[in-house]
Amino acid sequence: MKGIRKRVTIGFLSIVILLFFSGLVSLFELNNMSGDIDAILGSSRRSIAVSEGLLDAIHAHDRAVLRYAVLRDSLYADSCNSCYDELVEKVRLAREESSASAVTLFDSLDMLAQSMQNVVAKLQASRVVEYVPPVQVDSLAPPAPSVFDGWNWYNKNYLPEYNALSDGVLRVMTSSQSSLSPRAELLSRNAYRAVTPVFISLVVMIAILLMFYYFVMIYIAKPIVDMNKSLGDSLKYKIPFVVKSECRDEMAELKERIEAVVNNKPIRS
Amino acid sequence: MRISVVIRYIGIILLVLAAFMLMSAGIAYVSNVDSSYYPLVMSSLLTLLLGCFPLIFVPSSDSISTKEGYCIVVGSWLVASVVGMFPYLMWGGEFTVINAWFESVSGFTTTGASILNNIEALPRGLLFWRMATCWIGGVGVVMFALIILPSIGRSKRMLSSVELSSLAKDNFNYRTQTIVRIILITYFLVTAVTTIGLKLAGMCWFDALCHAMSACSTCGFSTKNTSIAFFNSGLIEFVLIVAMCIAGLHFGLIYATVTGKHNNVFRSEVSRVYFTIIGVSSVLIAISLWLSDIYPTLWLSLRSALFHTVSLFTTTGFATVDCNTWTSFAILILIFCSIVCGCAGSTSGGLKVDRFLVAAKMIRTRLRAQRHPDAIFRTKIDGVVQDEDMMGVVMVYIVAYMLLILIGTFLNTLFGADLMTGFSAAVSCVSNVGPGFGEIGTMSNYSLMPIVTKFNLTLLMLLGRLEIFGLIQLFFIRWWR
Repeated sequence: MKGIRKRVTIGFLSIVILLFFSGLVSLFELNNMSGDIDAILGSSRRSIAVSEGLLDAIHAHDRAVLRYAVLRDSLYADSCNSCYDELVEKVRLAREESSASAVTLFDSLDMLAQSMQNVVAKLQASRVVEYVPPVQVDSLAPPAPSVFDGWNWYNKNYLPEYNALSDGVLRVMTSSQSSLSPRAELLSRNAYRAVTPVFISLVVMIAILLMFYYFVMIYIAKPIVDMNKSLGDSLKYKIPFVVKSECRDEMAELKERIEAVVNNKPIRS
Repeated sequence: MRISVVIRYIGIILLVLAAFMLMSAGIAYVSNVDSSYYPLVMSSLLTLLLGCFPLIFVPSSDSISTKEGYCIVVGSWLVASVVGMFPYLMWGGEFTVINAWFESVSGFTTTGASILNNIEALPRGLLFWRMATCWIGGVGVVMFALIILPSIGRSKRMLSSVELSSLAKDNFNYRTQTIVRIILITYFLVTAVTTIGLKLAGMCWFDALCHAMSACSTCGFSTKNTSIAFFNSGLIEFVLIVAMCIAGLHFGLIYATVTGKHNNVFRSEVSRVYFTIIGVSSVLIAISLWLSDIYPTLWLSLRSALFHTVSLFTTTGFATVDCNTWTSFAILILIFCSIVCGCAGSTSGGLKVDRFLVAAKMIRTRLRAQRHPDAIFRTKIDGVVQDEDMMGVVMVYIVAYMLLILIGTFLNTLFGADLMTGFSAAVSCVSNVGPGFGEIGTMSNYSLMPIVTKFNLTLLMLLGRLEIFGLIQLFFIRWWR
């Protein structure tokens, strides 16, 4: 393959390659972006699940304490301990899944859980919940020891610890969500990067297409039109065959051959 | 005019740019495949394709007309600036479309004005590309192609005559081929020696190379947010002062001096004026700073004054301090230096000392002619009588230059800049200096400028670099007929 065919084929192939190239780039970039979105969504989902688990464990502990201290159901004493163990385990799991930057938050969560359990443990040790005062038959008898006010204890001692722990979980939750924002920012940058190379490739392709059109016009179409017109004129009016436009390769050969036929010139070998 | 031939030559220049992009990608690769590797490889491939395409169809041409030469030169600067945006745009960060265009034009025209707030956040590959744009632009986009591609043949003469101003050619008494070779050798050697000097002065190899490229092209781009102030080294400042001074001289004179020729730097009237302006300005600024208690000692005042005078006079734009804190007198002298600038035939922009000298001598001749109306006076430079037509062209250029600064100031203030910022931005961009005063001081940047102003300033940079008339001519329809 040589001459015009070679040039047109190479020109056409470069446009195809560019088209393929820009398609490949967009596919690659969109794939990257999809991966980033999946990672961010997965991370967000995990952080929500971890926080939900922690809050569930705290609520379970709270329910057990309410039953034990306020409703004075001594059967729930063990339940308070098992709920605490479950909470500690969940904090440990959450710590393992979290980033290194959240270590201090989990340390404080551990301390708060421990402090909350200490309050409950102190209550259990005093055994005031299990104590039932004897029924007073004689009104003149000395007064019985004061009755344990579970609701008051709950509000004064337990609730502040419970609230502090809930706030701690909330802090863990918001910190893990805010740690996602740089990644989301990166995602927006990646989205920009995914679009820009494709856009630039398209601009380059348009430029190449315009050049291709222009070169085909001046090196192929224009010489053919000029030759046709000049050949027509020379056949009709018997004027010499003259083509002013630039001819290359086969076009130059064709022009020379027509000149030879019409103007009776010898053909160059 | 054959547009296809113009496209072919612009294509060749794009191939040179693609090679530099690939080189920058190489730097990104050895820097642990930093984030600029992929944008640079992509950009180089696209530029390569864009440059190769015309070569498929358009045959090489032995002779090109003056109009074609103008179109190739101006077109090359414009296309290079557009293609130079590709790596910036693909990398993202602070580079919006207008910011990428500003940075690219600023690099190729060796202005050195930046829109980046955090230069140190750029990966090494992109930092090198930034320096490469100014290094290519320093010697001229087309000259670079002429240097690298010997296949251009006879067209070389036409292209080099369009790219180099007539003033710049005065000190070259050689054939075009030799002129191009002299420029190449001088440029490479000065950059290499500066790199070694900066390395010995305490910079790392990468910073040394980048700052050497920036100093030799009189661009002023730095790899650090605080420019040369980051290094806080007198030795580095000294090496850069010498490099900037050399880059502001006519390359033919440097070559002649090194090779022991008669018409060297020490004999040239223009270079004597060049050094006199640097010396006198530095001393005056230093005294002003010392008397105003801005610096505790005269030595410190002189050190800062010399560095900034050389930096602005050679249109480089490196900085060690914020010049906004200096006295009004010092600022005025620096603005004067930003207008006059280095010698013709150097990498610096601006009005050029040569034109300033011609204008000064014409004024003297005019005054003498008024005193002696019947006498005939001739204007001579280096003992050579200057042609009346050439002097007329010089005066027209000076008027056009001042007019451009006026229009630039008007447009800048129209879009919200204060007078000092607007005026110094116009001077700085037309002269391809980079930093100005006010909001665009030596330690600030152009990031806060409105989009329209940024675009206007890039036009001023291009007009300044193409010596005004080259670019303007393209907009006259009659010229195309």
